[in-house]
Amino acid sequence: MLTDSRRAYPPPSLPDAVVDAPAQAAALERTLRATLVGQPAAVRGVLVALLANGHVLLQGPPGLGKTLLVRTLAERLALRFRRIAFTPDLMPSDILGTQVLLGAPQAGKSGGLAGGFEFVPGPVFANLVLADEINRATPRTQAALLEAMQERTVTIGGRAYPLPTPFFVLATASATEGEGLYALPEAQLDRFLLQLRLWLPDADALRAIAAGAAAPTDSSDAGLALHLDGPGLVALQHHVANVPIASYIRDYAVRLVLATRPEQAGAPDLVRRYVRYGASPRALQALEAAARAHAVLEGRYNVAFTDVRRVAPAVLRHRLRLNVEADVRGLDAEAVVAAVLAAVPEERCRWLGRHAARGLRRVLRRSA
Amino acid sequence: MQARRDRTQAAELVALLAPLQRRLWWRHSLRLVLRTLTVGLGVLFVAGALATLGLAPPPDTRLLLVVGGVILGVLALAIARRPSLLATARAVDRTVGLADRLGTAVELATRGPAGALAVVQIADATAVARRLRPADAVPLAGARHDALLTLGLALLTAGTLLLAGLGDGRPSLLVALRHLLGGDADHVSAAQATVPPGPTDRAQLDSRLAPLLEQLESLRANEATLSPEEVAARRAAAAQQLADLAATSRTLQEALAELARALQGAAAGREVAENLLQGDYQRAAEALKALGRDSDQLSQAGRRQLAEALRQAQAGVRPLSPELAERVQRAAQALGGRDYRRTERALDELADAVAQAGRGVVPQGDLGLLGEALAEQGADLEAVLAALGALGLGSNPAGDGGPPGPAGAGPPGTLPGAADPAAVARLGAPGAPLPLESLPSLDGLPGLDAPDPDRPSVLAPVSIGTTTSTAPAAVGGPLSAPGETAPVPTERREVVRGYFGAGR
Repeated sequence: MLTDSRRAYPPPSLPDAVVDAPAQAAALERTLRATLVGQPAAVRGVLVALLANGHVLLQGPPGLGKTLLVRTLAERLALRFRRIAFTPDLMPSDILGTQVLLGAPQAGKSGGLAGGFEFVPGPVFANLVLADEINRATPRTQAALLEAMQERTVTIGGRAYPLPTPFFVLATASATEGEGLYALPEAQLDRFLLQLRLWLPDADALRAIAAGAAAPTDSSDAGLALHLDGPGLVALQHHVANVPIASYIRDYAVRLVLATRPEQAGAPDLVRRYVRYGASPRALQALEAAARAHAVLEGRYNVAFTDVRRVAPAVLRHRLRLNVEADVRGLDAEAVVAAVLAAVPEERCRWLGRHAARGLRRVLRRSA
Repeated sequence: MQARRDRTQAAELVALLAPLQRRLWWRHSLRLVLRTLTVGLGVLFVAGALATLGLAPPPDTRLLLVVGGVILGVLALAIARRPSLLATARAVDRTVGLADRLGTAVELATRGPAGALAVVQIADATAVARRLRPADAVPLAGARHDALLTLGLALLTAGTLLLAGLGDGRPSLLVALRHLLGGDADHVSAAQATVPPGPTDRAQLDSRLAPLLEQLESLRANEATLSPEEVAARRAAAAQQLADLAATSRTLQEALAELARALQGAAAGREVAENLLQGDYQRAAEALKALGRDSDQLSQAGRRQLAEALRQAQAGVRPLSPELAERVQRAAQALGGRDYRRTERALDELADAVAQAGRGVVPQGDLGLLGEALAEQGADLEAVLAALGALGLGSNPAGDGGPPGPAGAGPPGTLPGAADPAAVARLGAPGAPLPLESLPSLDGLPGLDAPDPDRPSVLAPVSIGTTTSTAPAAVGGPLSAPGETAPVPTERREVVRGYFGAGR
């Protein structure tokens, strides 16, 4: 359908990367799915974040192929990949880089060096960075990486060093809590566009992994992926950011974000009872960006309600801060986001319906 | 060049959506009107069902006008509310599952496409819209379902309204249902529910009126061969017979009502009293006999209470029917003693007397209508009026539209108490004692069928309450039983008139 429409109205000013973007993204997704067997949602999430120029926080048990995923992604896009294993003794300079003294000592009273200092970039200077178990590093180290993620530059010795583009960080966090773990603060969690969860694969996926079916074989996919090199991906990210979104869909996204705030009138009961802080304005931006990327991955040039709904859990779950009562009851942000999605209708309620619904909610609350 | 191309694409999209917009408008309007019609028909159906069950009057024109007005208003509203192009696009998106392609494209086309991706998006949406079939994009299946529902409800409502208007011709199931629903149904149209449907014949008239009818029919048939004086004399005789019957009937009814009122004060006599007040004299007699058989089960206080009630009744009944009063007195005396066999015998005799007196009571409506018929034939007007007056149906002698009497006092144009006191006295009106021997015997008159108290009167009973000067004050209340206050339906008057008016 999309190819037909493009043939009917070929927009001459669009680069191939944009015109073929859905097909490119689909081919890439097929390749990654073949690599990371049994985790289609995670693959889709990683691609959404990549196209939306965001970063991903992965949570899940070890041994699920996270490194393989990022490595495959880097290979198919011809991007530079680095992996950083976060440990408690990891220092910021180990990530960002450091200045080293060059040359022999200069003779004289001052005892200076002839060559001066040279900046040796750290592993963060790559296109794809896998930050393994980020919550094992000290907050100071975490902050250094997160600042680099946000600013996309590294400042050492008063000098800013821009990070390469595209720049994509895929961080993993240990789900278990215990000694030697440093939970990421809310402000730093907000830097991740999506938080994805990995689950242990089911029997079919395990059989496929054991049979070695994970290797990509489609030569046409490989051919398509050649278009998406670093500059191509950046161009695609630029155009994904310009995917049109209708005002009523944007309104829906706004209502979703507002509904996560306990002080908001239309918030669901679960939010009112268990949420301390709702989603920030950055969450709305992330929701729109992720929905745009999702639309392109679905083969469209417009954002639909389904795009917003599909990306909302990954966008919102790490941006909600639940209260102690929720911890006591074992309630997680996933359930709250699900309640928000169920409570906010796609169509805006009409005046009468809105007031009737509000009155009904009030009555139910009183009776409860 | 590119901008003109973009405008062309946007215009094409709008042109493609225009027929869908009209179709959506038509569907919205149709469904809104159909749903309103369904609600209106539902209201009419409920009103018709209530009327059919006798729980409410049939829906009148005002209700129909209100429903019609609401439907017209909704139709006007639907016509005024044409869906916008964006609303159309979004509706089609939802129906066909286009993931908001058309809605987004319409928004972009409306505000002017900005950016290369917007152009691609509009092109994509236009290509999709070109392939859309209107029947798929805006299906009318929902409207068809609504139309079927409305049609079914319309048929149901029409049937219900027809049933509500049928009156006596309604199915017996509905009558049974109405009885099940209880008293509310009864008070609205009790007379209609209890009267057997269809035209009446001579056999359904009270048997004591049969000779009178025969006389009048033969008189009408032979009128040409008789002299006017002879005709007038026979009519006067018929009127006199009617008046006699009316007076006798009324006197006996009053006597039995007196007994009933007295027995109401005793717990043991309440069943008898209720049957007497309802005019079911046979059942009252049976209850009295049962009371006699079970008199040994009565407590001493109960016997005393019953005896006292009968003594009070005896005083009131004596002027009206000495024979009945004698039996009442004997029963009271027997209850005062301890001889249960004597008590049983006395109550048995009282029961026979009550049954005999009950057989002397003629349905008042039959009498009244016969009187009217006689008056129409030109019988002795004074005698007829006296008879009707004794019944509480006295016509205004002037007959020129005098003021109507109080409710239940008789047909329109009558005055309460309009009967001539002299005529009332001459005809043996209440106050004059009647010997029990003058009444039909307990075995029934020879050649006449004993009246069946369970058989409803062909002529609906009429009020006999308050027109005579003696009745209400003397007996302490209107002498009428439940079911005897309904006006006589016009069609039944016509049945009786048919006996006399065919040759005129």
